[in-house]
Amino acid sequence: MARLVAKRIVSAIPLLFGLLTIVFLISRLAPGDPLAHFISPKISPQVAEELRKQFGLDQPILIQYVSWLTNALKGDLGTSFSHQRPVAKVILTFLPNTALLAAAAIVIEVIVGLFLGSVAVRCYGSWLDKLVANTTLVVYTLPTFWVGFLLLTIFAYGLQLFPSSLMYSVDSESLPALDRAIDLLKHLILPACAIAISGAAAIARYFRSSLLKVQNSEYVTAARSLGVTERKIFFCYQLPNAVAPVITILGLEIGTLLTGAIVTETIFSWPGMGRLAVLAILARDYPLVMGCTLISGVVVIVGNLVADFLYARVDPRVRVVS
Amino acid sequence: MRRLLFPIGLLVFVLLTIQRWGIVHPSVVSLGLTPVVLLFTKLESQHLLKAGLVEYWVAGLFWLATGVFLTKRFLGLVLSRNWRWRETDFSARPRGLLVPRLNASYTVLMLFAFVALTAPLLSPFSPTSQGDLITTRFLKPFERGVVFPASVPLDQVEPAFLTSSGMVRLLGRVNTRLLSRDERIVRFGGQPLGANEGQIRIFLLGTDNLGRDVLSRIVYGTRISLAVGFAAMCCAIVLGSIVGLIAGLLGGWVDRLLMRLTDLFLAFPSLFLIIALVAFLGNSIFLLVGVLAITGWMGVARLIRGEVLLLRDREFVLAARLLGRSSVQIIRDHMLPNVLPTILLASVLQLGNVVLAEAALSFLGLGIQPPTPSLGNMIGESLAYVGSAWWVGVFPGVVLSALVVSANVAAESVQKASSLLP
Repeated sequence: MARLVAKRIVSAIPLLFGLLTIVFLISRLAPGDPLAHFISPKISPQVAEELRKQFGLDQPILIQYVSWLTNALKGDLGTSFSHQRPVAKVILTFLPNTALLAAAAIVIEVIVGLFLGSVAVRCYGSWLDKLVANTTLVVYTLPTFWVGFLLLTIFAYGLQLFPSSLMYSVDSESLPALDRAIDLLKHLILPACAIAISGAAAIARYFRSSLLKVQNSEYVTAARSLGVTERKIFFCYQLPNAVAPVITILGLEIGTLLTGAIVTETIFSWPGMGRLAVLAILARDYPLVMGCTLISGVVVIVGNLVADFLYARVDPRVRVVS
Repeated sequence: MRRLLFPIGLLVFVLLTIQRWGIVHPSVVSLGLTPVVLLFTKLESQHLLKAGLVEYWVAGLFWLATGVFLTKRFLGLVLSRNWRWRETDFSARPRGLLVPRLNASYTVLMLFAFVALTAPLLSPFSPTSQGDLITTRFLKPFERGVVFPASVPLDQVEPAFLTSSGMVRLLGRVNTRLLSRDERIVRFGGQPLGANEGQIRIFLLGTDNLGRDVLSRIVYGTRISLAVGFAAMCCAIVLGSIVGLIAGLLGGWVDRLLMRLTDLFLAFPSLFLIIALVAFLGNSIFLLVGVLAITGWMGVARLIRGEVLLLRDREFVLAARLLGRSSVQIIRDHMLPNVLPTILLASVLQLGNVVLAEAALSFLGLGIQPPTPSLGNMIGESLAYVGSAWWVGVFPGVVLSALVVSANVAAESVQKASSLLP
């Protein structure tokens, strides 16, 4: 097992390296001055030149790249232009928010997806099953930002059930801890649902088809003929076998979650990594862009690794083969 | 229901033609007369070939083509011997049409294509025409307004038209009508109108924050979204097919290198890469197409590679190789025809993805730039007024969802029909 993980990590390193190289090249080769925000025409050219030198922008691209890489390996991601703070610190303040959002989304996805999938299989062939199969196909393809927009229109503005933006209410600082948590939960529900809905549909679809495959296999028939209760058959024989493809989907879903986070965080003004990355790109904040790229690359790779690991846990055959 | 789809479609088309006659007629006349006038009179062509007219010619052409196609098919079915209404299968596939008969999603896609091609004729207003901001912004759906035709700038009315023969004069009048699309809109107060005071028109889907008609913007937005999506899809398919063919055919280290590259692009959330590319490189429409193609070819490449690997060791390819045919010939004559269904499937799938990516990008304000409407940027712009004017964003979203969903459902049914994939 350890060897498998080590092998996967080693094979992921070139991917990460290639990714960083591409983003670095794109950002540096593109026209535009990252310091234009800070250098007013009033500042003398000498001072501007001094600033450029300070950020290392006067060096050739290759040297900039090598120095960025060596610093990153030492754990130093540079200083953000627009936040005027170390990149690592900026990311550390925004990353937990996105992690919270993503975790909530995954929980909703898995619960709703598994529930819908098993309900559909229970009533296989009935109108309910067809309804689930068709709705999930449609919902799965809906654009995330459109789902977010609808949720915002209906639940935040129409029914006024949930707040429309940000993580906390304005006066939340003065609230006791429990009320503060409830306040956060209220702010969390809409964006988490916006991200989760398409994923839940995907999981429901895959779970339904894998459950159908498992349902009529020999070991289920054998268990049934031995008089095992239906409940036990479902939880001990069908579920573990049917859930394996869902785990792969979840691994792939990590990338989708990040993408979803970009638009969802924009709609709901959620202070997370997605919005941070977009704003960094727009402000040409090179160190921050590279930092965000590194983090999201690592997250995607780790996500896939974890999915593989879980898959091997659930399905012993994978372990034997690898 | 399915049986009635075609007659209903024909009826809707006829009604639309009657309703939009005021703009369909001049477009078709302009399309027909321009070559005649250019050939037979001594007018200089620059007076006739205005850039603004081209879209009307294209739209008129497609309107005519649709009319001819529908009528021909209807007459072909109805005029056959001993015809009976009840026994006619209107939903049967017309012979000679390349695409297989699929489900409703395919019809919806065709509908979208029609809307995109005939956008200038379908939209009731010009997508950018506005009027008095304070009184005409945020008109609710079905609210009425008074519309004044814009006065045509003098340099667009050619004096030559007014003095020459009848045909030329007609062309002049028709072109003037087409070029004077930018109406001025005033809120309707309910008082009766005099003869020269414009006409009352209904805004079916309301107006947006600048008093522009939402329906017209949706029609034009569909056009630009589909155009960008289609172009990007074609580029991505070509790129992906080339990579897939090369990787599959050559094998060895080339294959490994290309597949690593594919993994690299796949490993990363593509929207992030697209945003980085567009934000750093600028956002012209051509660049947008390029960026969407660069970030969309990987799935196609993998599909094609898999297909080629299966084909490579088949007997007919070996036979062709034994006969001494070159690689190019083998690819052209033996591989491509077999890979074509896969490419078709991949392209329908890709269309949905690309349209979605463009919409997300425009939604974030990085794609199509205002005032050009696209479905994505309409939703994005409406976010600021979502509490007070829901219709500005909801309708474009419904259209976008219908487009993306039908593309994906169509892909699903192609997949099922050909069962190319498990």
